[in-house]
Amino acid sequence: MTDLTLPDTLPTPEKCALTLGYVPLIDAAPLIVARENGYFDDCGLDVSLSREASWASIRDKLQLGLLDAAQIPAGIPLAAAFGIGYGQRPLVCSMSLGLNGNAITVSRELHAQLSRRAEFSATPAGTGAALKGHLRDNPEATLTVATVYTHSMHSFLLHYWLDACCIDRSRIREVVVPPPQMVDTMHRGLIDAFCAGEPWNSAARDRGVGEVLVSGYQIWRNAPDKVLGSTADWAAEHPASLQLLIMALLRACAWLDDPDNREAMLALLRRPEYLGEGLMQPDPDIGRHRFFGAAANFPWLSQARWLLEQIQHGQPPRHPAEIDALARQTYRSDIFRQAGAALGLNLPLTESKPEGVHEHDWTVEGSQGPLSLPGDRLFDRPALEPPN
Amino acid sequence: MKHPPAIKVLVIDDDRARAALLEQSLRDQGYQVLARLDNTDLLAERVEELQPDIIIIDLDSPDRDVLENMALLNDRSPRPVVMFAEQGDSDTIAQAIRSGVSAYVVDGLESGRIRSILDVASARFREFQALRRELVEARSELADRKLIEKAKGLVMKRHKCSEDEAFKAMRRMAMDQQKPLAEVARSIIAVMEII
Repeated sequence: MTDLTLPDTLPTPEKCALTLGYVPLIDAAPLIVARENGYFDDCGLDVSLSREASWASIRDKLQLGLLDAAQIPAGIPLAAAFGIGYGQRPLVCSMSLGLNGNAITVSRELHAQLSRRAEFSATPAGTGAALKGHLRDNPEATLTVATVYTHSMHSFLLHYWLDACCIDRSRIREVVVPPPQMVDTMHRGLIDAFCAGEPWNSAARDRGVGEVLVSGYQIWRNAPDKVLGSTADWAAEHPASLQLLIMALLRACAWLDDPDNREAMLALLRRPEYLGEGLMQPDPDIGRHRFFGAAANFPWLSQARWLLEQIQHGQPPRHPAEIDALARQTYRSDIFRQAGAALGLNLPLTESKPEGVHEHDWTVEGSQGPLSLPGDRLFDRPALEPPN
Repeated sequence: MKHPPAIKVLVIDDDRARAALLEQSLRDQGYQVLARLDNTDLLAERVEELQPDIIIIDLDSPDRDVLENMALLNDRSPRPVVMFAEQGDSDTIAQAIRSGVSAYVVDGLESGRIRSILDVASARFREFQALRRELVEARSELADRKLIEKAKGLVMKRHKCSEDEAFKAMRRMAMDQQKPLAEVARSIIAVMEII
């Protein structure tokens, strides 16, 4: 485990008593662990966690100042920068909370039909080809597919996979279903498939309702997902509180990164005030969560730009310079760098990296020498050869 | 004079009692309440079918993300009320959200009407919150009184004194220890039960 030691002198927080919002998912773990392991206390912060039922509620409460900061899908602050979504105050992301965590699950009936097909293989291309064949052979069929939020990685990964497999999206009826209702909705035959974060894919499989067709990790290896969000005003008015918050969360992420701590993490998440017993025993191979490291925590501008491109899909295209400016004002790597440097982390020298082209681990220049990053291949992109 | 068609309101709230209270108030003010939904199956379809002008929904309902999606993808759909926060009416919205109300409205609905519906909803939600708090307080008061009675009985039995003397002794203890009477009663019961 990476041992992160706090600096000898900590800044004095402008505000000590903070309320952070989260939605009960495995990727809320950094917030829960930072609280339960005392990392917030170590930073002189008195943090209460507020469990929220929807991302809309988190966004509204951030806007109104009822929450100081929150776990939030990376797409929400970026969509707000575009003026899509609602609320007047710009939101910023000052840290990424981890990678991966999603999967596409289909009903058992659909899985049986797809896996019988000759085109089928357990890869994004193979499952996509099987789905395409299935739709071709059933010209009347429309599939109902649920995601959990419009501007979240679940929707983006689903769309990316469908488009890369040349599946006619007009044959897919997309709906939003709140995650806790996902398994039940599939059980009652109201949806054929869903793309959601863990533990809901594991839950569908364990209850005999659905099978994982393809994981988010298979579509985009080590894809970004949730971030730490706050309003830009809050970040500007509470720079020291925010630094301390990031430091505490980074220590939680380092703890979570140790596979030996997985059972302890699940025990914490299973507490009734967090995810509850419904969490059961999620399969680590579905979520493939990575909580710590430069890839997992640095707010990469290249990822912000990728997300902005997905969000603006179907809208009048914008100039790349405008996209870049919106990415920069929302993804505040400068704030992250300050906290990362205080903890002695090796930080990348650039704000962007080539996305989606690395099959294996690769290396960038870091503030303390070479910095290893995990593969980040998008399944349909040709992989770059690792430099010799 | 012809009346303008009544504004059609859809109420989504898991708390049936609160939803009923709100529905009544809205009807009293001349609004048409299309339905009161709690556990909703594929809410999006119900909304398309009912075509409400405004949806009042519990701020903490997980179904809000369903409505967000409709609002983002479909022009006809109700649009989130936070939209008109940008038109300078953020106080009404802030107050609604603090009361636990959120709303989605169709484009073009006159903002004065929206405000009056939101005000009714916020008031009813707050009222209901207060009622619930009173109920909790009343329950705990009753529980306290039972504890005090029980402790008094134990003191009377052990010290073979009158009810009045037992009560005075307990009150003296409470004053000396600067604790509420119910707490003193609780510790008396705990101690006596060990003995």
